Amino acid sequence: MAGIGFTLRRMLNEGGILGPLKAFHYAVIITSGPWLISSLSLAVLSIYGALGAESHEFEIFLALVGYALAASLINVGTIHQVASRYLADRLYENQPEFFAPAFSMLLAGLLLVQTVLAVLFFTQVPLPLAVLVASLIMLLAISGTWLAMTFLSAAKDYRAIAWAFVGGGLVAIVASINGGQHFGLTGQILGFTCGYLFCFATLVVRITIEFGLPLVRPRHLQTALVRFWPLIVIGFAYNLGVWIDKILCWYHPNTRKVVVGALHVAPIYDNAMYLAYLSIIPALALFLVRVETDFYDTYRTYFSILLGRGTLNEIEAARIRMRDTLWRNTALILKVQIPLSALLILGAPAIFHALNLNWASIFVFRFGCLGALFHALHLMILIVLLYLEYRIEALSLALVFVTTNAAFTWLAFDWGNAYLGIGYTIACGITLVVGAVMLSSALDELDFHVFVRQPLL
Amino acid sequence: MQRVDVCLLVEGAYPYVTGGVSSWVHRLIQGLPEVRFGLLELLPDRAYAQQSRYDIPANVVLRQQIYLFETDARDGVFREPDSSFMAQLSRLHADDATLGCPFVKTIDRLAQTARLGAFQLETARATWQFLTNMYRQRGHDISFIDYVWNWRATHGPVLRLREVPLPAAGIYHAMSTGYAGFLAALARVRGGTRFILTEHGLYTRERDIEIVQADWIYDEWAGRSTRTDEPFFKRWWRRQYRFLGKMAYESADRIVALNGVNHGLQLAAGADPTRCAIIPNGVALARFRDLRGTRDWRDRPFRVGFIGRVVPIKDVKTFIRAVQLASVARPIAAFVIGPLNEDPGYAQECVTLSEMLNLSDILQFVGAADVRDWLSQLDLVVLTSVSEAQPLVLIEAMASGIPVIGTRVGGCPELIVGREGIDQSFGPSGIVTPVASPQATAAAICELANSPLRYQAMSQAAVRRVEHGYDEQQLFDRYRSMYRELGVSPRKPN
Repeated sequence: MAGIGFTLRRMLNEGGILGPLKAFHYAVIITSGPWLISSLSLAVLSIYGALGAESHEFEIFLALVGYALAASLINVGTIHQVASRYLADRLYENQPEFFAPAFSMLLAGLLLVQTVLAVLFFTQVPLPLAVLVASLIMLLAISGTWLAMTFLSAAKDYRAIAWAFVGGGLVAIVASINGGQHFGLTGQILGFTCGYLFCFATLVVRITIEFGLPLVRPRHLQTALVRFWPLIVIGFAYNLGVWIDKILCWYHPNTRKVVVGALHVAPIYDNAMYLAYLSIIPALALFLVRVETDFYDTYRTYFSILLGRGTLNEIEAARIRMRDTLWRNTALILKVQIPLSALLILGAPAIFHALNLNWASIFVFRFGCLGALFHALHLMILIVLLYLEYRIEALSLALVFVTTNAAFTWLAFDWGNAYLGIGYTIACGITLVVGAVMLSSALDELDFHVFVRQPLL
Repeated sequence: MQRVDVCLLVEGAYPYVTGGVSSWVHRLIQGLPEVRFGLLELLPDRAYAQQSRYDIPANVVLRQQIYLFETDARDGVFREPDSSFMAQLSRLHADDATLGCPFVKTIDRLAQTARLGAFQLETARATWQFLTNMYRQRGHDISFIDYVWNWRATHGPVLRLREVPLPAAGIYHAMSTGYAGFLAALARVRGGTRFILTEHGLYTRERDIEIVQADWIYDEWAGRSTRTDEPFFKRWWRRQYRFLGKMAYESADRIVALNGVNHGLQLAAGADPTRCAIIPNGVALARFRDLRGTRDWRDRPFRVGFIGRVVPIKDVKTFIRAVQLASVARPIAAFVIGPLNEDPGYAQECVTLSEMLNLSDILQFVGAADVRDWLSQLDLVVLTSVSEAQPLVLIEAMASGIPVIGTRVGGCPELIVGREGIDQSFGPSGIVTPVASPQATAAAICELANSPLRYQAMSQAAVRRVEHGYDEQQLFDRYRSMYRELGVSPRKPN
């Protein structure tokens, strides 16, 4: 009757509950970093436009940048969580040699998809070929940058990322102004692209220095893509959720402004929204700092007690400590962010006056600020759910966000321009409530989830 | 599913592993060709079900594999057992006295009405709640993660067995207690079948030894100088197997031991004497009768053989040391006959030991070989095992007229000096030695080699003893009549 003991040993060792401790980060910096950087770019550009550079060419430029950022964020966002998970697993198994191959393979796939989508879209946009080619290069440079950022974040090389963006930003400003002056629209786009190319190149160099050249086949990549399909859906749904209200505004008769062919903008909506997003930088920064320290510490403690043969009471105590830390930090973030958002909402006229913005957008900005406050909170909830491996819950939350944002934005068109932007606010509010309920019960039955349900996912 | 006469339940052995139980099962099936057998193979997991080592006889009309520890839980259905069931379960766990024969029925009925399977055990909120309540109520102060895994590993297979579709059979014949015995007990209490338990070794005791040595069971005392108690999870596992054993003993219609020693242990473990019997191993005597010629070693070295797998439990090293000691006293030739690949590390140690003792000219590692060919060559068979039930190789040696030396373990002594009554009157058919004693073994070898008269007497006693009590035909006849008593009367073979 040999063999029984041996097999048992194997079974006892394969808990399948190690997942969360593989030290991967759905870090806020890669979830919201590109989004905020894009919003900043667009806000700066539109303010620059509003301050006097207004021309049809500049409008085309701004629209093309907006489309490129939207397409790059949605498509990179679709794969960034699954890529992070793959990297974390490789890191856990001490196989960093697969980083560079995985990067090059995902990059190739991404650029291919983006090229196909861009070409399809450009058939509907009657612009000179040079402009379209420049726009394609811009799209590819931006997409590559976000992907490279995901990989470096997994290696926690935040400093390289920060410097790449500072440098890239400066290059973009100088080159696009110069390019615009000397070579018109094409020059402006290529100048702007130079900034992202600089960024992309810097990050790729860092990746190569860190992980070497892509010399082998990236093992387990396909398996990861299949096994962690919820992460792909989450990434797609959530990032589409971020853009769906703007996309709807680009094409709805109430708000759209046709730039050329299928290339639309919604200046009354977009600019105020991009600006409103920037209001939550303090909340996200605080979250980044707090998650990296307080919450992550208690999270690690919980798992190390659990795996380190702690008693049930010790595990419970660690779970409660983690939960309380999370709520305490949320309260802290709210204490900072609520007054700030309130100030911006009340002080909107002053801001609009100072930046010479279109007064028709002032309600969009106010709804946007309130919505962004909710948005920041449900983004944090999403990240915590992913930390705790509540993938199905995170998936539901992302789906709630994209569907409510689409539905209420659409409904709000009928309520008149005074309510423009309220759809986003309502959607973020609903998503926040759903997320808070989910997270609360997730934290309450974390033991059950970790031992019972999570190994099955 | 096809109805069979007798359903054999074998845990982790036949037909995938060679050895005592497997060959016994194989011979029984061959010896009762008129019986239509089913074969329930209980295996740890799918990986275990490799190639069959035996040609399955034609009267095995049904085979079914059961994987005890397979974690195919992903395919299960999420379902919550109802709360009244959980309350009953609490009452059961509160009172150990209820454990026993009616308990098989209780478990079966409860799990049936609650529709609680192995998957629900692992995934339902109610069972999780139950588990944490048990942990708290009993005031456990022990690693919770081990508590969870051990709970699953002890309860899961039992519930998984409940879900196995049981073939219709007149008799469930289990080769051990443990999971095989539990499954047979389940079939028995569900009705329509009888239950025979044949124990070769004693499963519960074998598990006890395994558990004490197991490093995969967490030991909260490990690394501390004082230990006040048996490690919590080891006690849990031992209780688990005792519990399974008890259910088998209480449900079985017949409980068979191979020898008197194990019979006594079965009684001590709670087996009902009126349902117990001793049926020793048997061999096909006709195959060995022509090997019984007189052996004369005056002009050549005395040939001593160890026949068996080269594994630690056989303690081959003691044999090698004994050969060295005996070779100093008189010329001998020694042979280790048996596969070296079951525990290659240990086999290598044995070869190295032999070289270190300068036995290269005297001791030969033959590897796996035909036992009958070698029995015609040997003068003496030695078995130095630290654990045995009733080794076939000693019976075969005795059937060939070869005296044997065996250690004082399991059924070896009564094989050598006889069990009782007439069996003892034949006189000793060899020498019994203490475990792990090269000196005593060497002395016994020399004694037989140096006194041909004593050798002759033992050789004759050996032949008489096996002819009297270890004929395979007797074994077949006894099982045939036991099957008939329990209602299985197969048609005559054509």
